[in-house]
Amino acid sequence: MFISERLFLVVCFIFCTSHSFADNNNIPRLPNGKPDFNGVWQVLNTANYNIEPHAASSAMSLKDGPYGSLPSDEVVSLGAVGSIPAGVGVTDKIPYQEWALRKREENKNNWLDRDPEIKCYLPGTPRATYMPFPFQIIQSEQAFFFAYEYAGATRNVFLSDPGPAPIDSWMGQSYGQWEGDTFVIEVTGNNDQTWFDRSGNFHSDALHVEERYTYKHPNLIRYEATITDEKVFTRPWKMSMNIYRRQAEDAQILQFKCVEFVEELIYGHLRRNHE
Amino acid sequence: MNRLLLLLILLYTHPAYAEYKTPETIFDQPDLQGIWSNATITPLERPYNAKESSISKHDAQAWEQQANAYISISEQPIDPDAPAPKTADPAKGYESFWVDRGTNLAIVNGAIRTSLISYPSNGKIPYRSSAQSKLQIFLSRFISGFDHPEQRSPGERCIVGYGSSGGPPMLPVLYNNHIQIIQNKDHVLIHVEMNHDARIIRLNAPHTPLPAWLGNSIGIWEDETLVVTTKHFAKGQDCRASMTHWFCMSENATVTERFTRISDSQILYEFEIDDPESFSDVWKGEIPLNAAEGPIYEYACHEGNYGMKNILSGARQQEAELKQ
Amino acid sequence: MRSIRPSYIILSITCFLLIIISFQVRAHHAFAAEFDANSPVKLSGKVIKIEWINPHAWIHIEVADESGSSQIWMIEGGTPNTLIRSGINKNSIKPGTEIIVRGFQAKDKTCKPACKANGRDITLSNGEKLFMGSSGTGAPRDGTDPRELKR
Repeated sequence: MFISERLFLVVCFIFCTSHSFADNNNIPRLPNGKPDFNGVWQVLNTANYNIEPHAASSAMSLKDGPYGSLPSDEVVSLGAVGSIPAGVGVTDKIPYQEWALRKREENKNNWLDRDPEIKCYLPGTPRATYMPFPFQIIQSEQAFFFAYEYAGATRNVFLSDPGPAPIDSWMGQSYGQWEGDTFVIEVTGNNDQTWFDRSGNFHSDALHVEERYTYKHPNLIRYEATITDEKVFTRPWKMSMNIYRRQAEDAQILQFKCVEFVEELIYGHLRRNHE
Repeated sequence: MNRLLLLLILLYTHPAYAEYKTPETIFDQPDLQGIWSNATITPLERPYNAKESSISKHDAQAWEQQANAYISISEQPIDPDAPAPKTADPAKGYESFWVDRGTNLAIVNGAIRTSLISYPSNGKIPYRSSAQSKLQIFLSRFISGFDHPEQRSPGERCIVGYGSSGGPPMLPVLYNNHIQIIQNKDHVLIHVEMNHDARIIRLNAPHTPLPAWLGNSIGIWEDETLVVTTKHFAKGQDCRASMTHWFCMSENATVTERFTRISDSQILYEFEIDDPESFSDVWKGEIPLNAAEGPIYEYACHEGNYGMKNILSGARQQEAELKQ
Repeated sequence: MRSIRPSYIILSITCFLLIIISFQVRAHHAFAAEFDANSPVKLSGKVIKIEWINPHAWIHIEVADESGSSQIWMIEGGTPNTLIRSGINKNSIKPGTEIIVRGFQAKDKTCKPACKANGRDITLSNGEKLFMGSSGTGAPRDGTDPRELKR
C-alpha cells in the first residue's frame, strides 16, 4: 500500500472515530455519568394506526361498497379527518399463530367495539410510546419515570429487581438496567386487555416486552421493543422507531384525561330518559 | 472551663439539638425523593368536642385505641351459620383488610393534632354561605343524583382520586395514601397513587393558563423548602369528599403547598387555600408525610369501573319497577 | 395544655364514627348509590376467579341452590393495592376455594351478566376472614398462612 493510501486510511480512521466519539459525548448526561433522558418526547410516525407497513385508507371502520371498502356508517361523517395516513411501519409482518391471525382480523373488523383506546383505557407498553401524544421522562439517580399525556398514563421503572409482578396490570411492571449507554427495560405482568395499535394487533397475558432506549443524537432516541408471547406468536419479534425531543414552549405535557370524554359512549344508554 | 466548653460542643452537635440538614440530590437541591404516606386518623376539621388544637399523649392513646377498635372487631371469625346481615344494622362497606387509613394521630412539631387544619385556630374551614350551599348540594348527591354520570363525584367517575387524594391539597383517605416524589434539575414529580396522577411541577416557570383537574403547578425553592403554587383548576374539581372530610372551593382558588424534609423519614407538608369566593379567610393545614414502604401500585380506575355502571343501571331498574 | 377528659374523647370519636358509618359507608363509590340496604344476602360458593382491579376488586363465585342449579355472583371488595402491599398476590386465593359472603345485593337485580353484591363480610367456610389483619390483634402470625398481612 502506498504512503498516501495509508495516510488516507489513517485520516479516515481519525475522522470517523472522532465523529462518533463526539456524538457519544454530546448526549446529555446526569452528574453520575448516565445518559440523561429527562425531557418531553414524541414519535412522528403512524404506528398507532398500524405498526405494520400500511397504505393510506379511507377509515378505520369499513363496510363493503360497490367498488371496494367504504367508511362504515358510524364514521362516514368524519370524512378525511377519519382517514388513515400511510406508514412505512415499525415492524415487519407480525408472526401470529394461525388462530391469532384470524383473531387479529376479527379485532380489526370490530374496531369500534374492541379497541381499548376508544374507551380511554390505559394503552399498555409499548403502545404508550407511540400514541399521538407526548410523554415526559423524569429521571434522577434513583428513579426513572414515564408520564404520558394520553389518559394520564404513568409508569415507574424499578431500578432493582422487584421480583414477579403480584398481579397483572395495564401498564405492566417495568424493571430497568443499563447496558452501557442503553437503558433496557423488561416489562412483565401485563394483562391481556391492551392492543399494539388501532388495527387489532393484540397479545395475551404472557406478553413480555424488552425495550431499549439509546441516544443517537441529543434530541433523538432510537427505541426498540422486542415482543415475546408464546401464547399468540410463533417467535419473538421486534419493532423500532425514532423518538424526538420536544423543545421550547412545546416541552411540556398537558392534560388529556379522556375519561370524561367517553362517558356518553360508555354510560349514555343508562341516562335517565335515554331515547 | 475546658470541660464546660466540651460539654457545650457535645450538646450543640448532639442530634437532638442539631437542626436537620436535608441531604441533596445530584442536582444540588434538597432531596425530597422517595415514597411517602400521609395516612393519619387526625381528621381535616376539628371534631366538635375537641376544644384545643392538640391533646396529651394519654388522651391521644385513648383516641387511637377507640378509632382502631374496628380492626380487631373486623378480624374476628364469624360463625359460618350466622345469617345474612340485618337490614337494621348500619351497613358497613369494607372488611378492614382492604383499608389502610393509618392508625395514629398526626404529630406536628411535637404536638398531637386534633385537626389537620392549623388555621383558623378553631380548626374549621371558614365557609362563605354560597360555598356552604354548594357543599350541601354536592353531599346530597351521595344518596341521590343517579340520572347522569356527571352527577357522580369525580372520584366515582374515576377522573381523579376521591377525597382530594391527589389534591392539591393532598389529603389522606381510607387507603392508597402513597405518593412518590422524583426530582430532576428543573422538575419535581409527585406521583399520586390514586388516580395514577403525575403532578409535574415545573420549577421557576410561569403557570400554563389552561384548566386542569389537578390545576397547574409551578415550584420554587425557598432554602430547603419546596413551595408549590397551583392555579387554574377545572370546574369539576370544585367539591371533594371522603369518609372523613368534605369541602367545596372554586376553580379560581390558589393552593400553596410547602414541602420541608424534617428528618430522614419525614416531610412536613403544609398547605394554604386562598379562595375569597368560597371562604371568608385563607385556611391552612399541616400533615406529616412519613416514609413508606413502596412501591406504588397501578390504580387503573376507569378500566374497572363496574360501580358507575351499577349505580346508573340500578337506578333505571328501580324506576322501571316503580312504573309496573 | 388543658387535658380533655377521656370520656369526651370517646364520645366525640363514637359520634364521629357513627356519622361516617351512616353517611358514606364506602370510600370510593357511595354505598347507597349502588347497593340496596333492604336486600341482605348470605352466599356460600366456590371462587371462580378474582378480578384484582381498581377501584374495587371483584370476587366471582358460583353459588349452588337447593335444586342443584348454580348462579354466578360478583362480590365487590375494596382496592387490591392494600392487600398487594401486604404480600397478597393473584395466586393467593385459588379457584375452587369455598367462601361465605354476607352483604347486600346491588340495586340492579337483573343479574346480567351475574348477580352482584357487596362483600361486607367475606370468610372461608370455617368462618375465618378471607384475609387476616395484623394490627396487634394477637392472631398468630408465624408466616405459614399466605393470607396473613405483613405490615
